Amino acid sequence: MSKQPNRLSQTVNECRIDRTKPIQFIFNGKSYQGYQGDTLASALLANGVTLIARSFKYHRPRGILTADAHEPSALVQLGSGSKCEPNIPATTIELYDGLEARSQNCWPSLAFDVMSINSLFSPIFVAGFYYKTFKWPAKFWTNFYEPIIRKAAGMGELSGKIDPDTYEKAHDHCDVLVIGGGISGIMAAKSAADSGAQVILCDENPVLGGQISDGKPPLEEVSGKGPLVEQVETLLQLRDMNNVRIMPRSMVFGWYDNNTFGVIEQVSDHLPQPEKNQPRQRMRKIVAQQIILATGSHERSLVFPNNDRPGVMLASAVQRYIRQYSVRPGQKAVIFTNNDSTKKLVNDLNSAGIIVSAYVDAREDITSDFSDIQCSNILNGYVVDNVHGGKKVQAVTLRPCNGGPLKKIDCDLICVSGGWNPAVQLLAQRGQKPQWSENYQNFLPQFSTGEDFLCTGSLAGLESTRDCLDHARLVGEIAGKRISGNTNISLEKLTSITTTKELETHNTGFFEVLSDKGKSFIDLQNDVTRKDVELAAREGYRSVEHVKRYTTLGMATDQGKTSNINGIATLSRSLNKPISQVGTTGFRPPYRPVSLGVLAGRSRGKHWRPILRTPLHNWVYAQGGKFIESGLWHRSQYFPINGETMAQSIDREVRTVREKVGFCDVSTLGKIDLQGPDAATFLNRVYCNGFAKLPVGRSRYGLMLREDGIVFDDGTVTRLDDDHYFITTTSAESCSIVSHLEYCHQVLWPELDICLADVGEDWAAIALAGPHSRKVLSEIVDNLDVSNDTLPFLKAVTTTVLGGLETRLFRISFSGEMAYELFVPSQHGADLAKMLMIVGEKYGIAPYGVEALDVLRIEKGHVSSELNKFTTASDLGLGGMMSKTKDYIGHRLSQRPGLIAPDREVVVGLLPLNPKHSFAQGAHIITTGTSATAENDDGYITSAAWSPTLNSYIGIALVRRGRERIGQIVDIVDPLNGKKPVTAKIVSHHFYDLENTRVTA
Amino acid sequence: MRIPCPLCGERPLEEFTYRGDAKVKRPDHDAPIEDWVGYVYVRDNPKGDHQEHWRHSGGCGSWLTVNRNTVSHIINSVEEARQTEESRISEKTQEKKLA
Amino acid sequence: MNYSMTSLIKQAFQGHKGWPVGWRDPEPKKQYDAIIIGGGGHGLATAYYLAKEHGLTNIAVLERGWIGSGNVARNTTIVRSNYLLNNEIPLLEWSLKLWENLSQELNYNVMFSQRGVLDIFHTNGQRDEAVRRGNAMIMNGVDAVMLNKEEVLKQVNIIDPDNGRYPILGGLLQPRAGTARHDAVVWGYARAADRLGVDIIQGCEVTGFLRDSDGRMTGVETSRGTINAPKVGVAVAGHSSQVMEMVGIRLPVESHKLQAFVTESVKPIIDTVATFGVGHLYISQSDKGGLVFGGMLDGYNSFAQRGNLPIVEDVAEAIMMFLPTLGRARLLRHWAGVVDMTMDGSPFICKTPIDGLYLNGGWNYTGFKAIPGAAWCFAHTMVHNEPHPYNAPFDLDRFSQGRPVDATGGGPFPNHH
Repeated sequence: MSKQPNRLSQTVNECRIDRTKPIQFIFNGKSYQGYQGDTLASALLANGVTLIARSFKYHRPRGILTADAHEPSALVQLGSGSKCEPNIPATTIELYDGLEARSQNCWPSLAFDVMSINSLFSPIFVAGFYYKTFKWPAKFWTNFYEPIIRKAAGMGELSGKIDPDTYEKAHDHCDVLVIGGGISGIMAAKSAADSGAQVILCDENPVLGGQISDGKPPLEEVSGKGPLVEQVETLLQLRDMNNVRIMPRSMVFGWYDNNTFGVIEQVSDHLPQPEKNQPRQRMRKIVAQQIILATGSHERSLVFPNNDRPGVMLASAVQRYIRQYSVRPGQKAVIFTNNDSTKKLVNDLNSAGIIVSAYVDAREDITSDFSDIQCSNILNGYVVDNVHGGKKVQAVTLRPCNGGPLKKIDCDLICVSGGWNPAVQLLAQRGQKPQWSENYQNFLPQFSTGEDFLCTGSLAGLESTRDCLDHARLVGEIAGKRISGNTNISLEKLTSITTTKELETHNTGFFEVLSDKGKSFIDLQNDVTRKDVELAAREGYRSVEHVKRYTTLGMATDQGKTSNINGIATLSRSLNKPISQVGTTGFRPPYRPVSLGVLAGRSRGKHWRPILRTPLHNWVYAQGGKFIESGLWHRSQYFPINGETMAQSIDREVRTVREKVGFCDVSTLGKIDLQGPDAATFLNRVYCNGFAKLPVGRSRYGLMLREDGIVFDDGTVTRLDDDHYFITTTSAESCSIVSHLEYCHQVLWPELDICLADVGEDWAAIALAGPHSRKVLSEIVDNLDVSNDTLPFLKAVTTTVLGGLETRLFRISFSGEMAYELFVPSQHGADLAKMLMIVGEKYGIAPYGVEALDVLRIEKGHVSSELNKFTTASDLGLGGMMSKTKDYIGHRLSQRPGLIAPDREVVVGLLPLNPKHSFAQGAHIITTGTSATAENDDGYITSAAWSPTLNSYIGIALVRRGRERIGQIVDIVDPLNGKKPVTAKIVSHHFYDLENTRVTA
Repeated sequence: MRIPCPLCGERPLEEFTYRGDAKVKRPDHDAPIEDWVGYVYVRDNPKGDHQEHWRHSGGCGSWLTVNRNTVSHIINSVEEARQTEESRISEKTQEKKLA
Repeated sequence: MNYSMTSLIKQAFQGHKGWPVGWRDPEPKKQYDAIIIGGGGHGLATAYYLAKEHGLTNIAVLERGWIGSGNVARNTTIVRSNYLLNNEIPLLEWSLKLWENLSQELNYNVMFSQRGVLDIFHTNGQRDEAVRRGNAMIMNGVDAVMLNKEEVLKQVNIIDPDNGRYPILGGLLQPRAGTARHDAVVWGYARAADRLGVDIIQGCEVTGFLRDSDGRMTGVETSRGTINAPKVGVAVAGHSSQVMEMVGIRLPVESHKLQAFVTESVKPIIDTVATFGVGHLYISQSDKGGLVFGGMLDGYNSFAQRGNLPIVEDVAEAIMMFLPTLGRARLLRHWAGVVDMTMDGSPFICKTPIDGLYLNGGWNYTGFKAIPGAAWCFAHTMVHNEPHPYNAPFDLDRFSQGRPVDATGGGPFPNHH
């Protein structure tokens, strides 16, 4: 156990860590100690660990650049086993006991990484080098070059194991959503809340306060009662307000239409294990009326040779590690800046006992007052010409901008500031194009106010604390007023703050040191250098988007937060075009990377979508029935008994129906109740066959077309009463038919006086089929003559069974046998099934599943899978149903030449010459003796089955000119499955009981 | 995106299904075939304001006429499609009367 | 200068100062033999084939923004010809054949990686469709292999085979299919076309069409002045309706947005392109390590290149159904492309009712993979004023004729395709 050599003794500022709670953690196999509240980054720095990672392309040693979530360099592999997670910025990892992390993208070790040999070839590995080579021989790309590149790329590793954690989702609504919990966000939230609005305040950090961090103001302000102290009080008040919800560790990742926000709450990432009943992360969808953006700004770096060496850190990060974590990131520092935001850092460095070897300010002719800086070596008009050291900064060479001798200064820490970039990403997601401001040398929002949003704080271009607080207070008030219905509020006061704002940083637009002493990185993670951008510009990749894509600038895990502006500046210089004209690339959600697990929430694995179960489901299960997926349904597939195979079971079920009696759960059928005086007219328009004359108490098969003339669906329509119809649809189309009929009613013909309701879930449905079906039926009906005279084929009655159970009883057959469909209220479906088993026992009754159902209908020649969205009524042999005397959906377009062409593929039956030769659905048809090519392709098998009734394999196919070819011999080919062609005869697709005597018996 | 259903109030996108151009009008049965082809296949596709049909399928089941901007996705108005059609019909009747 | 390892090493010694521009930035001329509107993959490739195959070199590509700024830069880079219908397979297969030598032909590595496209099925119905399709492919001379469950799990070893809402029954694999580097296709065609003399004019928006008294096309009005040409090809998918409306042609097209997604870079974990028959998920891994995936359309007319949350959640849910191993992979970026959705899910590569005006559009989900083949056919159509047999089915008349090329059977509802 090493102690923490770089942990300072307790400071007044210290606010993030709790020294009473030491924490043990492991990095690269070695055990270290940190404190509760540390990030992995601060803890590693406290332990003097500065080499953290290797870069993407050149495998250069990398340390910690920032103290923020968009850290580009210090990415680690976190955790182990199935919880192992790649590419996590050490700056975002809150320390917990037993935390394990290791460096990624290096082998065999971080200190000695073989792939750093890439650096030697870096003169070749410039931007886009792979576009120029690896082309010969053609096959080598996929098999040779690419695997090498893929293996080398890719940063961290996924575990390859199932993510064991749970995630959940929540929906939230509020009047005002404040994004960002820094001083501006806190103030804005407070003032909005004071107006009575419901406020949510989100911040991605574990503690609120931005600079003031969890209520402890910086040292220099405590005595003076400065504005930040006031802000601490505000935060404390905010926490007690009932109409405010503060959400820390909650990152707003996306701003979607109508002010729907995606937010990720990191519920348990800072704990060794999620607490009981808590998810790892939670996704919130927050809908807000008014949005206050107080997203702050990000410090950017400068571009100079070897600016990626461990020990080069953003100035603000150094300050935060010292102040908030009492960590000394180095012993001897050089500050390299182009603005005044670094001035206060000197005091922090001094107080931490870090020697400030030089304060290097690249600005040459500025009037900045350096007198308040406690540093004896202030060098303005100097730049860092080179950084010395490999795995750690050892020294810098400084160069005066206007010529003169170089100075070499020893140091192990370089604190860099290139200015501040307002966090415009969320606004840009909405399509705003950020505007370059020459005054502030950064991109500001195109519009910082809108009807439903207001920007404040440094996002609004403000720099002084006082301005931020005044502005934020006002913004909160305005949002509150808008919520109370006041839409016409003057923004004049806001504008006056932004126009008279106090400038503090005085950035003059210095971005890069044009020195060739080493690689000058712009995008550290993707190893994009200044020269890469220059090369891209030289080669004609001039749009900022081209440069991004050619060099991969800004495509790393920080999505350009640390690199974009410098890249644009280099491009601007290379093209000799002002930055305002170069523009910026678009920003896309998410604001920060988001785990796929949390985006899915609970909808994973078996819970992806609900399983639909019929009312008979449990009964089927108890019978030992097997289930099959059918859309969202689980339908009964077959009912094996006595160890039967699936095929044996299906055969028995089919024979039972043909010879005795069987019943099948058909509850998945769509069911629609249609009522009203115009119901017959309506039906007549939506079905291609006639319904005007359907008598009460009768069912009729109906065929629906789409308006383009293709068959949509089939089913039955039963007239229960003068103005009352009951429609069934196929299981697959039940939802779309309801939607379609509603469209026809509400939009096409609102004048028709009808009403329709989806009653699919209200009725269980059982098909009772077989020669003994009437006998079984007669034993369950209460008071009904079921003889053929009173209940002939297609007769329908409303009656009761089993002593008062309401039943709609239709004599309809899909199997080709005498058959009935019984519809009973859902909750009684299983009762009916049980009773059928009991009363039917003496007739040899058995349940059958959808497999047998399919065999039965194929034997009978009923089309089903032939309604495959390619076929017309005529293709299906149902052309005769199409009325010639009325307008109906699909009528006109069904007459187009292509849909009535004689060479269309139409329904026929196929009988293999050898009845034992099987073939698959999806096999194609060719004329015997020809080869299996597209020219000879005459169609395909749509239904295939072993028919126990015919003792042969049989099939239905869609065959070109099929009806003319009945009697011809063809080959069924299935080269995909490597099967020998099966020779078969084209026959009618009605294989069984052509005279229809059985259904009408 | 959120659509204010006239019957159910403002509800999230997930509850709605889209159909398309609401300006298409089903031709008379004996209209020329070109009219029918146009009705079924050709659509308004503006970059801007668009009148379109949505169904509140996860709610009341109503078909809605929604005026929505296809660039900003801002919804300017929503009414029941039945009402749109009925006013269209009554306008037509009105015109006929005037003629 | 030719691109090669030799020239690369040579340039390395010279600090890469000697590379010429990939393509010139010329001023538009007053007169061209042909104009292509749209500097995307299809437009640039058409110009290339007009020059290369037909010797037309006085041609211009007019691009409103920057070349490759449309869907060619926003797709999931899948290249395949595993189609169903006999009238659509030849075009896509011809395209795939051109892809196989594209890097050599263009002297630009487009990184066409034939890592296979595997369509995984979960129900008997999907299996039957795969059998029908696989057989159609083989009968058209396309490679297709049926995999059983074990073979699927071997190919994609991060699937959780037993805990998904739907089972894994098998898959249809096209080994020759794969992915390519989308931007490289743009730049490769641009550079190759430029080297044949084609003027690529960026920042040039077409604002109107010019026609003579007989109605024939004579040129276009642009933001950079009038440009004359007797033949004008439109290749602006996503905005075909807008451009064609300028000459009064209303198209059977709706513009929809299709989202795409990429995660952070991770070490190789999936070596093929996998699609799942439920959940509408397709996923692959880029050379850089990002998992690239996509799902369904957002489903409503849109010209916004940004998506909404339902589809984001939808694809994540599909991933967590079958690939819960990716739960800790992190989404880096999601965006949307505006696609021309047609009434049968198939494109237009055809003449128009106006003499001298040609249309390449309506690409639905299919545009990227079709770039070489469709552009080759489009160039043929523009030169001969009649389609090549490969693109003959893809005309504007097919709806009035009742000959839609509708492989999904979705009918005249673009969001059903």
